[in-house]
Amino acid sequence: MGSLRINQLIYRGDLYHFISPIFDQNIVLVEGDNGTGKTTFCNLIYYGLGGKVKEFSKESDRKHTEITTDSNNFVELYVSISGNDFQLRRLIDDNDITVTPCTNLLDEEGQIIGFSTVEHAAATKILPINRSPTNRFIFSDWILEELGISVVDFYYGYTTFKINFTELARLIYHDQQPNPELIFKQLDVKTNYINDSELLRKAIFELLIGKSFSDYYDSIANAKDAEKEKLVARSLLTEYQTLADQLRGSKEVKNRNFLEAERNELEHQLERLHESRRSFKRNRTSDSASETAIQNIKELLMQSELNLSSSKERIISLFDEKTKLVRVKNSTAGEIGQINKIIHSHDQLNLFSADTCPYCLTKVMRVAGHCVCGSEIDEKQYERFFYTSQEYKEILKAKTKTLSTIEDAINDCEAELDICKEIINRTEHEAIRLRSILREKVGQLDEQVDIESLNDIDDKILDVRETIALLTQQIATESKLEKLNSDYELKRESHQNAELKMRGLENAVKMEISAKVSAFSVIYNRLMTTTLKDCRSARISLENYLPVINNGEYKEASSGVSIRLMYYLTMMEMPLAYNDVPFPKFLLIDTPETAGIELDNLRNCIKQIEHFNSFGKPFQTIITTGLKKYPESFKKYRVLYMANKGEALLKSNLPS
Amino acid sequence: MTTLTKKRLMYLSGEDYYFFTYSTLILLHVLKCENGRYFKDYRKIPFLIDITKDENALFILERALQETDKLSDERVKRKLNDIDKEYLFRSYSSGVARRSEILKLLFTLEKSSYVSLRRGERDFEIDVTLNIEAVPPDFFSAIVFGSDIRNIKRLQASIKRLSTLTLSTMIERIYDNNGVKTWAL
Repeated sequence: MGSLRINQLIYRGDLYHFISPIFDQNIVLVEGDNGTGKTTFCNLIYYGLGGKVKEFSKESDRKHTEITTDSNNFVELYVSISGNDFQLRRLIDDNDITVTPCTNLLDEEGQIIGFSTVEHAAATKILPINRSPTNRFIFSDWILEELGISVVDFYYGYTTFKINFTELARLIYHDQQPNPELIFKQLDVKTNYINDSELLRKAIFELLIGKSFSDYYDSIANAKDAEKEKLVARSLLTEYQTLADQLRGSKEVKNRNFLEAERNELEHQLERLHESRRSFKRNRTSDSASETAIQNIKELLMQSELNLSSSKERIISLFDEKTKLVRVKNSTAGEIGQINKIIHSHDQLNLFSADTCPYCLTKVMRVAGHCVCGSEIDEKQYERFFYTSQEYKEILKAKTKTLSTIEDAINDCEAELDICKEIINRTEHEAIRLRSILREKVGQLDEQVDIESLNDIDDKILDVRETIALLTQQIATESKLEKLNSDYELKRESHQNAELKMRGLENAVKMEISAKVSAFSVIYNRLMTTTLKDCRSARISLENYLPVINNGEYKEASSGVSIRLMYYLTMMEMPLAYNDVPFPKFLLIDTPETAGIELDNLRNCIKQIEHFNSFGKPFQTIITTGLKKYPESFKKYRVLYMANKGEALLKSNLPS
Repeated sequence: MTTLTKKRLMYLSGEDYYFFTYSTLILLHVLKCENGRYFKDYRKIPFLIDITKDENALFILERALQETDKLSDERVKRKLNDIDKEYLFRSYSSGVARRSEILKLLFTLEKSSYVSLRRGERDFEIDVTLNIEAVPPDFFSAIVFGSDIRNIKRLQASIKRLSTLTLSTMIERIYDNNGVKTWAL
């Protein structure tokens, strides 16, 4: 089982400081006069372990002046938890604790002489004190884990919260309490009645004393969780069931196997429908007669288009030819007119003859057989620039003949144009006719397809597809339902198991607590009868674990300190006497005499602490007392002595 | 090949001196440049012959001049299409090329007394007048030359004072204003 031990307490601030000696011992005594800081000593330890101390808050009515006016101040604890060493550091007025593993530096005799965190700096964790949605793992979870105490969910009515270290510390830190009969340390902050309910106090006692209580509380939490999950699964299932019913409509309920069989059947049907549709299409393409006819018509049409095109080309070239011929005809006709005028002019004016000089146009007296230049020539071959009337007439005749030839050519051209026009006309009509036949043939081709049947098939395919889609949806729904159902079954079973486990543990716990309460009562009885002379018997009640002195008849108010202190000492002795008690073998007792107790009685009470040494197991009890308010034998445990206010706990940083 | 055939093949009626002869005489006759009323500057004659012998050239010119007249601003030169412009340009270059032949012909006609020539107001200018009495009375037959006479009258209607215009004014009206590029003569 786990253990907690404080090895050193350090306080540092800008104004004050306190460095305790290293107290690696079972019993630690702090002696001090009133107002020297005994409570502050305890509170600093408690604060360092995550507790809330009103006096350290600036808003408090009873604030600790030195600490609340100090700045950059922090508490540093060197602790051993279940054999592991750590440095815990918490800034005042801050809600985080820095946890650093450390190594204890030992002297030759094995005594701690210092601490080193250097090599563990990387393992430093900053843990929050308060739980919140963003802070799931807090300092309490860490320290409880280290102490081997389960973090349990505590159910109270409809609310649930985790039991933290500071709750458990209510039976570890024996603070000054005006009303010691309550036994438990008062709450740090009382927010609601649940925090201080009897049920919670019982749970604290059980968790610290009983080994199976952690398991039991865990099992309660597990059972509650399992129940929650079961309820969620059931509501999901119900919800989905309603949805599935709505989807199914008026149809009968069918499970997934039946639905899948139905879908398979429909898929086959769909396959068959597709096949018949394909064969319809094949029928259409196999009608080669119409295809060939259409192909032939298309070829004819193409041919006629080609003919038309070449005829049009021909007609264009004919028009071109005719235009050229007309132009030649006009120019020839013009020439004929000119020649006629020339002949007329020649006849009337007789200006030029074979004897006219081509240069000066005057008449030359030419020798026969000679040119105007004097060279001999053959008169018949003599090419002159001027023409006789006869020659002009010959030219005219030739030109007229040419004209007639051109006119013939024009006529031929026109005749050919007419033929060509006729061909074009015919070809165009033929193309129109072919097109109309083609249209008719194509129309017939479509008629051959049994559109009605094809439509029927298509409709059927659509229907089947729709049904398949619906079935697929239903199958999905059914699968989901099945899954939800099996999930619910699983949750139901795990809840049942958790319940069973809880019931099983409940019995074991009852037996255990009964045994533990008996054992506790034996120790408590011994301590009480030893320290309180008028106490004949003392035990704790099985119902609320609170002390019953002299069977409930004892009402002496001044014995409150003993009753409470002995209760704590019993808590401490339990893990020393029994191995299966999780109590961390650590007690912090702040000035027990404050509630009013006779000095001898007090000394006797404190003396009982020494009894723990006889178990031969390590433990730690830190106790603060007033001056000399302890048995003489305790002097050897004293680590701090504050005789007057001049030697108060917190030392000013200013040189005195 | 016979000589006649050769000559016939070589014959071009548009190059015949008789063509220039009758064209010149009819021009002078229609413009009434007769018996001492002189046609100013013989150099205009080859251009006028070329335009009046050809219905097409005459038509292009008539249309062009009508359009130009409509425009108030004379500086705006009518834009003929390229083919028409080319047609007019051919008439211009032919007119330029025929000048010396026309002059030669005029001297022959003067020798035969059909025309009289006189020096014009400026150098190179020679004015012409037709001696109507010397021409045989049947020469100006409307049956033979009907189209030529008609053409000259059409041109006369489009371009006023054809006989008294200077060469440069006539060139400007017929060619320059229609976008035909000319050169100094």
